[in-house]
Amino acid sequence: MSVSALVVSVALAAAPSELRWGADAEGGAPYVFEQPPGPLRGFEAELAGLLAARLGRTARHVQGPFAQLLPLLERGDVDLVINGIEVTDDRAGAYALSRPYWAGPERLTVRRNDPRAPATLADLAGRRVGTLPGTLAERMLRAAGADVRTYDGGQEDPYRDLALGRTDAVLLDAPIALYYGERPELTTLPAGFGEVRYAVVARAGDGRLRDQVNAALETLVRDGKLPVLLQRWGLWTEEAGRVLGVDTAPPGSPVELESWRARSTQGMWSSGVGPILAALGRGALVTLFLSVASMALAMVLGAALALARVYGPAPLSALALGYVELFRGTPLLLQLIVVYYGLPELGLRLSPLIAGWLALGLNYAAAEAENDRAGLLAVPRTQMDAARVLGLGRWQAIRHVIAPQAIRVALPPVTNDFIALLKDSSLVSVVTVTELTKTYGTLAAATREHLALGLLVGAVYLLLGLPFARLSRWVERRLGEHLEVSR
Amino acid sequence: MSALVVEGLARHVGARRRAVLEGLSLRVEPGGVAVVLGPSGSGKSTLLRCLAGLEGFDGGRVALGTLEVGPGGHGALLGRVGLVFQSVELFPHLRVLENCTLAPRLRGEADGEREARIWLERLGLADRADAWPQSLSGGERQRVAIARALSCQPAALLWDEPTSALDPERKREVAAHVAAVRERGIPQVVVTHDGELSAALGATHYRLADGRLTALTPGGR
Repeated sequence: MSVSALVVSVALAAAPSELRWGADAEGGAPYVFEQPPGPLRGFEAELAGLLAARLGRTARHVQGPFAQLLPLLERGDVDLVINGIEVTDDRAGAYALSRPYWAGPERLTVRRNDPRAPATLADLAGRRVGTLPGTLAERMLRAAGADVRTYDGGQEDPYRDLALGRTDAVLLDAPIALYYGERPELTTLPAGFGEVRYAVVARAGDGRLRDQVNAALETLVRDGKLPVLLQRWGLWTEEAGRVLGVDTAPPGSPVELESWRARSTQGMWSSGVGPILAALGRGALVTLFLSVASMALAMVLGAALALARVYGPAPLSALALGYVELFRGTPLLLQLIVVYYGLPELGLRLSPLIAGWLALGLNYAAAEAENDRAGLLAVPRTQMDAARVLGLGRWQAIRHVIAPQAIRVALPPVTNDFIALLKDSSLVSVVTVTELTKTYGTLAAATREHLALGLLVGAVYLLLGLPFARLSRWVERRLGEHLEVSR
Repeated sequence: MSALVVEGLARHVGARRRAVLEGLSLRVEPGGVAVVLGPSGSGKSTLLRCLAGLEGFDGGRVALGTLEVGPGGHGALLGRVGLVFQSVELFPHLRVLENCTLAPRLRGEADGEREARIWLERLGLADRADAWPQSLSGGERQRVAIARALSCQPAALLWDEPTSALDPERKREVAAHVAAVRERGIPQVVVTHDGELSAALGATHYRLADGRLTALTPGGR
């Protein structure tokens, strides 16, 4: 999606014929993931398409970090969350959960060559075991007395740490173990533990949609589409058959699982560099666009704040000081989450890009205000007197005499701030904007090429920032040219 | 041109309302020059800032032709009274000519540049119009400041310690500049403690003490 298409799609957010479903593509296979080239993949991406078709609507995926999917649902950014959300009593009380569309056990993965590898839940007491936070697996591990390590970054990370020897085992849902827990150095034990069920989540007040989803699931089970879908992804289990009410295993072979395993042994370059570069290019464009727009806001607002502080009447000056202290003294991430998820409680629902732009701009305005203030204070007070004696009004004096000199002092730190903002813009992925770092996370989860892609993305950030550093040096030179001439 | 008339000027400062100027009176005829002498801290700078409109005063009045200003009305003097600062205060981001034409241009005065070029020429700066202030010598900078003040066609011109920042050989030129302005009939007030300058100016001398001016013998101290 190009930047303009992203803006347009954001503007049209709530077209009624769309079924907006939330999922984190950074999580990985087999749920929802990206495997360039091509569209979003995963058994839940296909399920969302089937459900939407049954409801006579068009499925539109909304990207959100896994931990924020349910808040996004409550905020009204998505109609449904379909992303391996486990059925629990708490959730059944707080949301409208559909009937399960999958069920299966937790599976334990260990290192192949580990002589002390645990084989049962009882063996896990006191051992370091990786899992994902807030899951049934985590609760089982805590009950077993394991030393639990949880990972927020996605499904690849716990297995990577296990392979590196940082943990002794990983306990996770069967689908994850199937896709990430089989590799040369790791093996997943055949025994299963417990049972986890996945359901589609709708808002508590949206029981009608939940009922429609249930009816659609019923049809998809009856006409065999859902069982076949699970079989293709290698996810058919006894437990799934039981919750879906299907006795016999559906026909077909796990072609998607085989293709995934084939791809992951070939590495990311098998599909060619082009699609990966294109995905990174789109992410870079969003990062650049957002950063430039936010910096523009920060510079305008910052200049106004600095002028208010230095030249405004006392109450205005105090207000500007309060603004700077507030936005400089609290984390950007907090501000971003409050703008996106908090303001809707006051009736202000901003689109993701606008919320990201606003939060970054408001935050950096505090830093720019301090730069500009330093610039204004660096101009001797007597320059103001000289301008006023010549008959210039206060604002004329600021505009034509003080500001042009203040900019020379304020400009060099602005470049520095811009480069910092370029990097901080990666935080907007928490409000569903897919920028460069999020694109990296998604690609890395799908290709397992953390290092190569990381170096590549680092290079892209450098390339984005360098032209601005050069531009600033040039402007600085132009502005300072005549000032360095000595007599 | 009209005379600069100051009557009963009073200026109190600080929480304790200390009197810096107390009933100060002064009259400078068109083309006249008043030299104000006095020790540091006697209020010479305050007097100039009040006359230029940069600072308000608490009592008395300042009159310049039809313009008459009382307490609280000092802003009306801004742009009407020129001031050559001790620290010169050229605008470093503007070239010499732009320094002189900025204020007339912002006031929409069409002949600002013509007036500026006349004064630059008279002060020997015709070839420096496009130079940056930082490339000028101290004496040249001061002459630009004089040209800048006069380009606004002020009704009076004030000088704050005009020789303090100059080389000895340049100091003598200041008297000539004052004389050149005199020809235009502009009343001038020169604050200085440079005896050589005050002698060269040969004008009416005053001493500022206890917030008042006392006339001294012309040419002497």
